Amino acid sequence: MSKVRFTRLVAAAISVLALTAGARGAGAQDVLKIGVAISQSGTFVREGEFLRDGYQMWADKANAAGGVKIGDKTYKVELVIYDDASQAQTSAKLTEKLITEDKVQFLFGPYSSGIANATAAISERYKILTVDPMATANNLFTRGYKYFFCPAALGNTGLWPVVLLLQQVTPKPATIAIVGPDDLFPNNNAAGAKEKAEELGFKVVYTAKYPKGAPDLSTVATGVKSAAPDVVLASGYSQDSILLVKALRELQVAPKAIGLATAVAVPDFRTALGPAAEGVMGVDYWAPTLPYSDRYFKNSRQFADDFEKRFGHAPQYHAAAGAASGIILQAAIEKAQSLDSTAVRDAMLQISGETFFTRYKFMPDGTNSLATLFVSQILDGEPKSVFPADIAQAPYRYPAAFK
Amino acid sequence: MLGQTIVNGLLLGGLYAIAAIGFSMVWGVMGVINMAHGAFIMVGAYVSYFAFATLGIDPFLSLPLSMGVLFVLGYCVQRLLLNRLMRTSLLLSLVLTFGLDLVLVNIFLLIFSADLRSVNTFYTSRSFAIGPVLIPYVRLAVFVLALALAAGFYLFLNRTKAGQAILATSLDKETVRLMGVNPLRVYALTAGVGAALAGAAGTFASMLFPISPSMGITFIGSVFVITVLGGIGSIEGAVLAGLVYGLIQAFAASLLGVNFQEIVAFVIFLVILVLRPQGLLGKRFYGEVA
Repeated sequence: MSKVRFTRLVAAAISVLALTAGARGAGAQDVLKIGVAISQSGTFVREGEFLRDGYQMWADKANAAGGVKIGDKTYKVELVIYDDASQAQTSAKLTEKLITEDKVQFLFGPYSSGIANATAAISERYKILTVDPMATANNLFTRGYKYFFCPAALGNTGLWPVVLLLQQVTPKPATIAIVGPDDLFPNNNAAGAKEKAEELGFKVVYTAKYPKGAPDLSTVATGVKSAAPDVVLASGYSQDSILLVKALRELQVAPKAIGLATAVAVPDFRTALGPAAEGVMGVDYWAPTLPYSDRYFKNSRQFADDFEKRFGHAPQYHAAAGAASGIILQAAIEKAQSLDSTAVRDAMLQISGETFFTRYKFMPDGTNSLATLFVSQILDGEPKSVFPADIAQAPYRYPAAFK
Repeated sequence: MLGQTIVNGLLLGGLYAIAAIGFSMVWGVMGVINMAHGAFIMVGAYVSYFAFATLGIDPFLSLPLSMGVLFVLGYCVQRLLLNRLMRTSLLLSLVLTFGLDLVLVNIFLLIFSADLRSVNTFYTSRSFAIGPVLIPYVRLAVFVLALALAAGFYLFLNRTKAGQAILATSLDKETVRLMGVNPLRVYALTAGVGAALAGAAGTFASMLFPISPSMGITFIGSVFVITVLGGIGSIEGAVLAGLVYGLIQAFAASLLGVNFQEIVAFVIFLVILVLRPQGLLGKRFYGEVA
């Protein structure tokens, strides 16, 4: 009896000691508070949670390494996270609350440009630096915001890496056709691709927008066939891209290259097309095969493994972008040697380097001039990154020799 | 270019026709607008996909299988669910079949997930040339089979007792009772045959397009237009309207631009509704029995 009581007493004493020690530890180490108003319910729950877990992954890594260093002080990272329920207005309100009540020093942005549209106006008003890798709509960066940064590639650049690849090949193709569904994101991609292609001296000989969800694309393939371009670029989603490749094959349209704005690494793509997928190129934001490295992750494979260990499932590019945002913010804070938002903002414009997700060098408008999308090509039935050369797993095949 | 446009339109039109016949028949005979018809097509596509992916059965050979599965499904749905509503309002059958559509689509989402799947045979996407015009083998085969099925169904209706019973019931369901025909059984038969044709359309679609549980929705709009265009309940009307619809879309796409194809098709649909509301080959009595 008394033995049990004694054990309890000791246990209680130890836990009190541990608690006070913990409190003292926290007191000795300062806290860097970063606010996150993000979708944990509603339409964007899936993407929002990936992004949030990416931010958390960085915070864990930074804390495990001792925290963020400014002078001889180290700051422990604390994320203050609220659920914006996928509502822009809610997200804006929560952003204001994070700034005025929780007194966060910095912000990580929400998922999707639509919501960021509302929150960026608030954070800008309070001059609180925000890093948001998932706000990629071009119009967010034409408003003169000074405190809003996006490390990922912008929406209209979805086909640029394919166009840049085409500029390298010999003989350089002369003519390009650009087709895609009539929808906001694909239209952005297509317009961006057309502009870039013409800037680089290609001739865009055929463009077509088909209705979203069109059941058959043989009419588009017929149009492409009569224009006989060297290259076909498609700005759409998985399903219509599959349909398009099938229709082109049926009408024996064999351009020298087919480039899609969708990831050809998606398993559906290969299984749905079978041998017809061979040689098709597609653009991707991130893959575990990227060799870039940073202070926490020696490459993307390590990030993927660590993430899976921590959260129990494989990461998507949202998570990778989230973790990379933290690494970039930490670099800027340590460069500025200050927690002052304006000082860190100035440092953001000075730093450059690489994370496992992307290289970075920011422009005054908040965009990342080194943001990298990359091209994968199906080679011998497997998707391989082929461009840019420094991250290529295999040389690209051009012409693709479609049968 | 002109030849290719005609071929594109006609070949696709055959698939549209077979997708619409069952829907048109069910509407004509029973006055039921089957919102689950698109889901039936989807189920047919998955039957053929499943037979191909797991058992290695060529999709052309699994055609009877998907038609059989869908016949049973259509028959049971009518017998167990819809027949109970036949004496109430048309609106209720709309609600019920819409609900059925949701249930079927979500069951298939659970089983197969939203992944895009496709039947890839060695002859998929191959074609032969006649002069400058390319004809894909699969599309041609689908076209021929669709027309053959339509013809077979036409003969079934007009030459067999069961078919005659269906036609008679569509004319006057009170009088057929006096002739020893049980309308409820005829309804179930009609629904079964209509679903079997949807199953055939699904099998054909699986050979041409990537399939997913939500694929039915891309068909149901076209099916609706073709049914009204051809005349509700008219087999030959649905075939003619399917081909016309395919051609209209192909020509609109090549002359005006691809994003005009649906606009033009629906404008012509509206014009026909105004000028000839019974459809191209519709007869007045069809569809008026409900």
